[in-house]
Amino acid sequence: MSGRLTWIAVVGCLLAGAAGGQVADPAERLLADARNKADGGDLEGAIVDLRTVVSRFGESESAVAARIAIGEAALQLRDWEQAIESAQAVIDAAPRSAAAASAYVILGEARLGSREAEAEAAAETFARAWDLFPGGGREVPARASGRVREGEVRLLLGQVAPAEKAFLDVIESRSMNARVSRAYRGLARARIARGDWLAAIEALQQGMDRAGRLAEADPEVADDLAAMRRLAAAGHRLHLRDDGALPWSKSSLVSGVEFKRPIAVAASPEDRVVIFDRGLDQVLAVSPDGQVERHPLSGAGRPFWLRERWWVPVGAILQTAGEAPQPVSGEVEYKAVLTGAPAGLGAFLLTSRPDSVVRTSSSFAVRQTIGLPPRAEIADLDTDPLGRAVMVDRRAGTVLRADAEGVAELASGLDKPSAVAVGPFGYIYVLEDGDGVTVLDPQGRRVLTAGPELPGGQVLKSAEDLAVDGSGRLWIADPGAEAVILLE
Amino acid sequence: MGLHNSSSPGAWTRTGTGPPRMVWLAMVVWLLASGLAAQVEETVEPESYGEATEALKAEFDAAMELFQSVDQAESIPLFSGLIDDLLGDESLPPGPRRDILTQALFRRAEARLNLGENDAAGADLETVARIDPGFDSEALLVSPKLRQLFEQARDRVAGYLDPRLEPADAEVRLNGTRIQLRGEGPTPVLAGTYQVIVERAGYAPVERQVEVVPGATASLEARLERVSAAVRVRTAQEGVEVAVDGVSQGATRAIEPPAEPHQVDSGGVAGADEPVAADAAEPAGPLPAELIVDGLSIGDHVLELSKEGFRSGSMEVTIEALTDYEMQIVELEETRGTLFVEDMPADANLLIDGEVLFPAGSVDGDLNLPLPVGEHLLQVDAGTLGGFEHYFVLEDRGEVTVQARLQPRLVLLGILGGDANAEQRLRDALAARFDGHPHWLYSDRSEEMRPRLADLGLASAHLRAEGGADVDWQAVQAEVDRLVPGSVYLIAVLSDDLLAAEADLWTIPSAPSAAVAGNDSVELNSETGLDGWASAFAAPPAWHRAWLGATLLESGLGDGPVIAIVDPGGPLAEAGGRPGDVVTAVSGARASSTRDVGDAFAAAGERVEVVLSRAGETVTLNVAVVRRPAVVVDFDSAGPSAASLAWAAIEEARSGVADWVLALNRADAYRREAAWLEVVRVLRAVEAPRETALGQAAVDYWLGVALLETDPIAYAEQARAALGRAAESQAGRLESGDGPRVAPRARARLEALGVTGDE
Repeated sequence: MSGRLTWIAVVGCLLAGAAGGQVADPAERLLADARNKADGGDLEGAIVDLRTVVSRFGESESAVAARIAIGEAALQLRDWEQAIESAQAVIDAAPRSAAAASAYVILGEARLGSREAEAEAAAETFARAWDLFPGGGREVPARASGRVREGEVRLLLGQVAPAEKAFLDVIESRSMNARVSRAYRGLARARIARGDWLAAIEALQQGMDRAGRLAEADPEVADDLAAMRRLAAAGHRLHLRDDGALPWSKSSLVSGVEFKRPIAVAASPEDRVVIFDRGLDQVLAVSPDGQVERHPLSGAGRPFWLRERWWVPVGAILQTAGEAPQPVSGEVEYKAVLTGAPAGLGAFLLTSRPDSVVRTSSSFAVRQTIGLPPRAEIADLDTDPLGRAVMVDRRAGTVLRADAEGVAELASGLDKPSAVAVGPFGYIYVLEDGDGVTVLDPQGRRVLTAGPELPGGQVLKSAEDLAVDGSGRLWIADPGAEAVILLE
Repeated sequence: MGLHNSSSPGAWTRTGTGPPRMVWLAMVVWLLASGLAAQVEETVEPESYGEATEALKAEFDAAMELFQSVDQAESIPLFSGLIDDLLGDESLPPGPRRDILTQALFRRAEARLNLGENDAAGADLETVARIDPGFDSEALLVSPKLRQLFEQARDRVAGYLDPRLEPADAEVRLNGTRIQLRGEGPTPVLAGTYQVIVERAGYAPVERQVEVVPGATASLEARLERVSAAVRVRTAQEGVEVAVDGVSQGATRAIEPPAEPHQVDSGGVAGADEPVAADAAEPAGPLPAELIVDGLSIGDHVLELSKEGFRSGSMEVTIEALTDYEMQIVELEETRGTLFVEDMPADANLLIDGEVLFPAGSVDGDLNLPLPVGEHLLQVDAGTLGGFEHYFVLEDRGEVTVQARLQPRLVLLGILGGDANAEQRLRDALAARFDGHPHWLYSDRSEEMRPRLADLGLASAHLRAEGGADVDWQAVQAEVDRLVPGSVYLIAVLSDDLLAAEADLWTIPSAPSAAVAGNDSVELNSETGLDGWASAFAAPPAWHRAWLGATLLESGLGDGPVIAIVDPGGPLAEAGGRPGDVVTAVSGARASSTRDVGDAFAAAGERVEVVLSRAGETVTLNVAVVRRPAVVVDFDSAGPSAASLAWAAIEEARSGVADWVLALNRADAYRREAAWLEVVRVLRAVEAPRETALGQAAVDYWLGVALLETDPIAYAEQARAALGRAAESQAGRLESGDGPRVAPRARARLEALGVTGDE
């Protein structure tokens, strides 16, 4: 799990308190040493120093700061127990302090990281950071951090209204920092999930106005600003285009790589793209600035993005760069995974033998099998903004959507749908018979079609997969054309 | 014959476009019947004698008391003391001291004579005659023997000068010193040989040598020859420079009041028991100053009068004969300009140069005020509302118009904490920020408040530990409103008594705003540490903002922001704007962001040209610029909300902004401090326009939020109702005409209320 994008750095400011220069106080000196170690990547060493501060200066403010810093370092090490212990100690010692608010945020992150089942509890924990401090007076940054994280977790849990309210609470408070831009980003996502695209666009622009003033000095805000810009572009493409026009005005071939048989493509909300070329036996990860990383791999299925990381199934094993392969585990043995998509804190996986769509934990342990119509031949799946699985049934020519109520047919009459992608505004992009793209609105109504000839002159020959990135651009893997086509 | 001037009397007039000339009021010059008397005494007692002379008089009076008692001999030592003190300065000029000395000598001589010490008495009398040969023993009620002794003593040291002069009022100088001639009979002078000059204005002086023999009378005859005309220039003011034909003649000097008997007890003088009527000696009114100008030949001359702070004047005078002239008193007009003060608040004192000219309640609106030329300070003091200060320079006949635009006053009550170095740095930093601030007045009252803060529960350790939770801010507000009235009060609490790196800046507004305390932390070791906090004080708020009537989106896909939402009936809708249009230019300038568009509208006049890209075509719209009420929301400001409350109070007094707009702004300030009760109090009675951009929907929304924050159970129904109304609003916006729409936020909060049962 990436700390920077998931967590809000509530603790960094405490460590930063022991700023450079000569530090006379022994506790402050130890804190400064710990910070230097943490900055250098030596988190374990930092924790040792921080524990020394706790043991030697147990009742002091420095000890409280050290416990908070231990909690943050432990989160980065995924040492959930240590993070929980350290945060709880702060809460027990000073339950009404500003440090307690930071501790509640750490506690929430640890609960979230330790077990998916504790998501609701994590949301409640985050909420404590807000509720403990009624606001007014001096700002307690962790208070807003907790509220934003609560909103994000509730959004993952499909609780749109409480999520939206949590984001509004932060936006309407006197917070002046990264939490506000993050809250606007969350508010836009909540409104997209609600289906109110106009309100979402409004939130995006307000968020960009606020974030624009802080982005230069704060990388977290810069991330939020970039995300909101991508969403703004996607919203413009879909909702503010000229009458009758497609969301894209041109098409081009992805350059820099000589594709042989690109059969699968997946795009992340951050506009990162991963392509599997069966002819090259390579996974190609393309960054937003066009840099390509190649990972040799054969026999892979369709890649997908999960928690800002791409995953490629090889048989029943999920692989990614820089991490150990993760097997899919469950009560039955799965022969192969065809593809996947995010599902709250875990994933939806499309498996074969038995042919099924399952929902897993964050460690790919199967928790639930989605009940599908008889004889369904699910070719592909993705997740919509409300966390629901959207699937295409190649045999029936339908689009299905699975939620807590079960699986419902969203659209029918499609021509051999082979791939599906859900855009950031919940619109559904379906690849039909290898040479056409149909776009459905979130309610399943056909909005437009494109192909085989695309704007800008590219022609689909025998496309096998498509993906929509965070900016609403469409990526199509066409092995027949030996190319990946980008529509923008 | 006669002097005349070339303008009509009675007023300032302008001659063409040139500088103004003074007209002297009904100036009459006539031939002097009585001649020109001496202008001034050439020797006068220095003013610095003052108190010492009074003490000498008291000593003399004490001696005189003994002199008149049965123990007259006892007075001799007292007189001697006085005489010894004064005799050291035999050249005493005419005046009270010389009178005291001569009378003391005279009385000691009398006492000594009564004791039979005839020689000593004679010596005293001779000294009197040396000091003042004209000493008038006739004025004293003394024995004939004493008077005779004095005459004998005088005859030993002095003779008499018997002048026969033409003209009779000519003056006589003996060895350069003018003497006062007796009206009748010879004038006593010390024996000796004198170089005598006889002179008079308008005449050629005559010089003689005269020998005065003791006890004898020397004759002085002189007939002066008239050589020029003389004019007695008289001015109401002293020190008026007089020039004739461009040549300075000197300045007018005050005329000495008529000689009075010096207030020395006459001691046995006839009628001495009757008190001297003090007011009998008072002049009837201010005496003019004068200067006698001579050397004027027959013909035309230009006479100029000038004095700093007064209007100069000149006149043409015609001398028709070599004789004496006298001008009527000329009163120069002060140089003055006029200060026009606009928008003077009713409940404010108006001060000029620190002096209250108009107390509160005496002026409301505009006034004009004649003032002397020069630099002045105008101050308007409206107590806790604020004030206004403006330096201005008035020129003669100039006009300065000043709008008395009240500015709120930030009052530093104290910097608490033991780190003196950090305290000084913060004090300096605050002064650097706020002294001469264009929009705020600043007063550092920490010295006088130092002993009071602890009494009010404001101590550094306490504020650090308890975070101000148990401070009675209302009591603090009431006390400081009374003691050091300002608009916003500031108390800084250093983070440490030894090495403070930060400070908490506590602020509260003055009444009638609620005593809600804000607290912001600032860094002390950074030059920019105060930036965020101080930005709240940057400028007066814009109560109205240009209204586009649309929501724009910076999507990055076009050449500018795309129009996402167009408000029906709004300016953009009226001009023909549609969703999907991309704004490429406003007022001829490229618009690449929503801020560019907003800035261009803010700076525009009544209409603005907006260039759009629509389906590949260029469309130009002419959009009306409509200004709508706004809530002052400065997202870049981390400063205290008390600043907003101060501005709202000033604007309320000015009555330029609708009450509901001020109420929304006040509510916003309280909301930023999470003072939800105050938000409810402010908003529950507000009636704002419905179905406008910023209006009742915003009121309902914030009322609903505040009610839930106050008590989510007790006020749940009222909150639901308020949020429900807000959720129904089609056009309602928060903050401004183009601010966030109210309805989506209200719906989200209503829905959350339904899901969770409370907020």
